[in-house]
Amino acid sequence: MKIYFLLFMTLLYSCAKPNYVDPANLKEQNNSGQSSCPIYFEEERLCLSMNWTTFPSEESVGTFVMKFYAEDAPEILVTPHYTPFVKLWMPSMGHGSSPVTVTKIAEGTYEVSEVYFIMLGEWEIRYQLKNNEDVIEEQIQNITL
Amino acid sequence: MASQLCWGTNLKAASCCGAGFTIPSIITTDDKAQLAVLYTYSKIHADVLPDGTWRERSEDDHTQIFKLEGAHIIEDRWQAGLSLAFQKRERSGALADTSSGLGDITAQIGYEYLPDWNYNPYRPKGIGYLSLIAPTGRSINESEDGTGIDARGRGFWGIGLGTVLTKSWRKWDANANVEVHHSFQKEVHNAQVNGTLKPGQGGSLAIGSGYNWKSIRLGGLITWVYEDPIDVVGTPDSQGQLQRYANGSLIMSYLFKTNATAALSYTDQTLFGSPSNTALSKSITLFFQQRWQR
Repeated sequence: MKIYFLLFMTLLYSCAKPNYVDPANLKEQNNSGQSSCPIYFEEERLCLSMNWTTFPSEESVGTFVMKFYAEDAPEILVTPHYTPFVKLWMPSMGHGSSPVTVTKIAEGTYEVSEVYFIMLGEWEIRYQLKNNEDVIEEQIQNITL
Repeated sequence: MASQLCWGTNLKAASCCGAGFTIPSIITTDDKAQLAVLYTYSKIHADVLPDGTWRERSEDDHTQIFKLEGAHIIEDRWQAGLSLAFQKRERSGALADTSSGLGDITAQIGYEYLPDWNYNPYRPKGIGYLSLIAPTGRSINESEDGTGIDARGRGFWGIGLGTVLTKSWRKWDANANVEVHHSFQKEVHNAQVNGTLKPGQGGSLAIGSGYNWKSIRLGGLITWVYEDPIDVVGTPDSQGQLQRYANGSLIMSYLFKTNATAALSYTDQTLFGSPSNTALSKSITLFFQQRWQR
């Protein structure tokens, strides 16, 4: 009888305690914020801001626009010398996601489309400036889904 | 006899990203050989973040696993076994896709260090084993298109050491399995990673019990699984987080007079433990095993 009591107590204390969070409430947290220079590239002395056009979900891919501008003149958009590239990365599990598409749409302005996170959780958007395959500089923005 | 069969240590596949570290078939009876075929349908229910918060999945992401497991006595108390898995994964949603192929292969050698020759009322039967996992299934870190749909294994060479303990008292039985394993680092050069993946140690503890009525056995099993973080050294440079989950299984099996067993089991990863950094699934397994006497 004691054995079954101990087994029962083990089961009781080992029960999972789900703590569900609705990913739909997280969109606004995942913009780059209101800072005058939310992401800074030291190599080219450029700031970067990003804003979601379409926030990704399980059902649809997302799109955001990133803008590069000089640190001391936010109103002037600047095209970086190196090639902007975006990589999605899930650090907790050590893997990436499907590749995104980066398209220049105006001076210093790029549309990043096909943004999709293959599972829900904590991700990094890695903004890179690349010279061919070499990453010259990388800045990271955390995002939670 | 029925109590020593089919208690389900083979049902330890991680829900996300291919299989976990699996234990192949172990002969716990007095037979000389056994061969089992398993079919598992598994569907991801939720993702759990490292901080313990859960996200429920709305899109379908399911895996079918066909598995073949065999074991044979090689000398008196020594045995050897092999486990092969073929997986098919289907996902709906924005990046709907299907992928299928071979999972990881596991081989093991076992030794019955605690025989049950005198039917001691307390001492269990114990079999120790050494296992080797071959990364024939691609890991999520090596996914060619980055979506992970083609991930069918852990992707690392690994060695494991463990023990199975079984005991029965009339109509009741109990079993336990403890194992620890080490996964070896590997170089990966693809669109995702250009560097070294560094996994670490892992382990699992399974405790189960069952009630036998004529040729039918009803059993339960809880398996707690732990894996060290996977770090990436190179591009990108990234530190992982530990993974933890628990499987809760209900198993109903039937012992045929032809020395065969059929079983149906339900496994739920959302019920027990304190999961972290994992995807949790619910699965159903059909199992058929044939044994040959000495």
